[in-house]
Amino acid sequence: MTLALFLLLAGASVIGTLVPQNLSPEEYLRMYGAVAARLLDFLGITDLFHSWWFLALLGALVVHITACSMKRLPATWKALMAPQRPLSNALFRSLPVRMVMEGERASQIVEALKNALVQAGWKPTEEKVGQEVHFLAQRGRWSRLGAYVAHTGVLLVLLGAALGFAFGFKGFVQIQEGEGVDKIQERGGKGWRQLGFQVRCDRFQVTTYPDGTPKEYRSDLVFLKDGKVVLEGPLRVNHPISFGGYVFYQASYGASATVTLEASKDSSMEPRRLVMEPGDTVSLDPQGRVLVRFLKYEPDLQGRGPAVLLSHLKTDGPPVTGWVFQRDSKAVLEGWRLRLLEARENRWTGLQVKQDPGVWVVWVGCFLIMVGCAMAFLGAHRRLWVRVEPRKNKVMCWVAGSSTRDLPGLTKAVEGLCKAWQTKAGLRFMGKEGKNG
Amino acid sequence: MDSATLLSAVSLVYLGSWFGYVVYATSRSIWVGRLATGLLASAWFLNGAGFVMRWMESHQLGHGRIPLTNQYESMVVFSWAIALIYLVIELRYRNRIIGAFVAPLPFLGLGLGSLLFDTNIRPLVPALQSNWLTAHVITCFLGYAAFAVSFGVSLLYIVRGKLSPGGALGGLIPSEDFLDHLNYRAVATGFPFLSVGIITGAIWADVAWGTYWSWDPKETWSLITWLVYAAFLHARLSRGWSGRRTAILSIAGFGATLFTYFGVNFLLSGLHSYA
Repeated sequence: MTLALFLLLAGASVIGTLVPQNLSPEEYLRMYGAVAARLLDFLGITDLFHSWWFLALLGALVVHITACSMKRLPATWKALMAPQRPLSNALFRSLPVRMVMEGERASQIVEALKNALVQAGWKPTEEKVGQEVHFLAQRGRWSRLGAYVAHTGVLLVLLGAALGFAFGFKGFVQIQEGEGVDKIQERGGKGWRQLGFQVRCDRFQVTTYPDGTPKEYRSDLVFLKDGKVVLEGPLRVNHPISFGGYVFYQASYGASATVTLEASKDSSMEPRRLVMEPGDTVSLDPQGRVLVRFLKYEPDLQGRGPAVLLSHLKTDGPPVTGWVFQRDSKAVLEGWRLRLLEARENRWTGLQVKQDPGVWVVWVGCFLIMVGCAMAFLGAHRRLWVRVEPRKNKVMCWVAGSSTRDLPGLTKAVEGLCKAWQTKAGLRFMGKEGKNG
Repeated sequence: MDSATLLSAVSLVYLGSWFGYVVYATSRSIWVGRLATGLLASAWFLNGAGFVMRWMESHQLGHGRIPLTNQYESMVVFSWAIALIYLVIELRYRNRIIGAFVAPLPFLGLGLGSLLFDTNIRPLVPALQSNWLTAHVITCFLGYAAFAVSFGVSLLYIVRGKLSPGGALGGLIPSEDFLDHLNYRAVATGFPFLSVGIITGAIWADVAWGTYWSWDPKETWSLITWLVYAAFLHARLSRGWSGRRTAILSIAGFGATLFTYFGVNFLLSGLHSYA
């Protein structure tokens, strides 16, 4: 079930990267043809990551994680809290790491063994069973909870994302240099949001490195409430500004312009001057026969200076577009020579605006994933049992251990401990099998 | 000498160490083995030195920044990280045979990186000017490098299974249990690194673009890679899968890793167009 969910999510994500997402219906029609485009739309593949079935898969993941964790937690908790019993012969034989040692009976030997244990970093508790002395120690038992911590993290990330999806706001706004706005258009064309305050852009600036690569995009913003300045500062990429419950990000920029075009026909006629703003349609001749629309302004097109993109609206066919330059203009339209006389630039800055009540839940979830991974992959619940048994004129020492992870590591630790006993208490190695004879 | 020249020379040192490991694997001469390790360790050191040099060169050009910002620089770090993770494994397990299968990876990484990509030092565009850059790139590439090692080990596991047990090569390759254990260890190392890489990337995206997750192809493919390795860990830890099946998952995971690293940039378009 777990593996099936992982593979389904991964497979769906692969499709989501192969089919471009959130294009217009016309583009899907052009790319895939009528039948396939309808199928993609029907299956929600054009916006796969927000389709009902992808969200249902995520929902199934949430249910699955919760159910599995609740099923397993009691057993884990029991294993974690279970008291360590003294080492019996049966228990000794069942443990993965074990060693038997033997030494001469001496007065301080139990103390010496215990000191070596403490020096190796264990915190042993001592128990006496008849003549026998037992040392019991464990460490890292909380690492058993690592998987639960990490899975709680995954659930929190999904919860935070759901909160943002349900109650968050994402919008975009263009502000002309020197102007202000008090409402923002919500992304996805869902209407406008009144901010309750005003944002003004006093200046937008691009600085570049000597090779022309952009170095900084910067909008000098002023936030006003009831006409009074509350906050001002530069907005740069990677340095968002929070104000009034919203966060503002530097996202894009551009320029529009009020342009003056000169249109001349022949020497008998005075050249005509046309003043236009983007989107305007004017006629070149006084009779209204040659109609042009101002589509776009570029401050510097291909290094040839300012230019204006015009569209010639024809009555007998599709419109024809072309650029008109300020310098060396060669544009001619129905006998009219066109030249860009003057352009008054209006630069604008594009701001991404968001409000996300779930983002902190996501970060807490991420933190838990990291902590959980560290607990599960770095930690291990290691348990150590030691039994010291005085015999007639010698002393037998059984040591055994178990670990939830990294048995070779525990084996090394036990070997190190036994070596310390060898040098400090004079014990000898007797092998791994304890003969209780 | 500039860093790019040094680093392309270092790729030849990696090549030399690979050759050494192959000769060691067939001859079992301890001196050849030590020579191979020595060459790999020096190549790793010089690889790091080239990285630092490139950093200093960018300062001399007047726009100092850590060299972690394009395809070429990421290949330099990738090769360095693979060599590092391999050296740690060799030191810990005292086994050099794997070197014959892992040493070609940093050689290919650094060699192809020098040949195929633009090695000029360009200044940082605004989106990349962030303190998250270092943490994000280093953790991602340590993850990728651990997955590269798990890939090499899994390949070796599959190859070993195909050989006759008494054959000449069969005796050279480490035991299946050891390879299986190493595969798990490598994935269990790479997975947390990839997780931290994705998380730091999300935090950075939130700071730069105002959205911690936008289903950009790079993000989506890193999630796919994460899911494949998550499947690996669950299959192994709670299903008891091991051996051939986890080796295949590991190979599939590295396929997803490579697609996240290269495929997305060359075949798909998105926000993450740097490397």
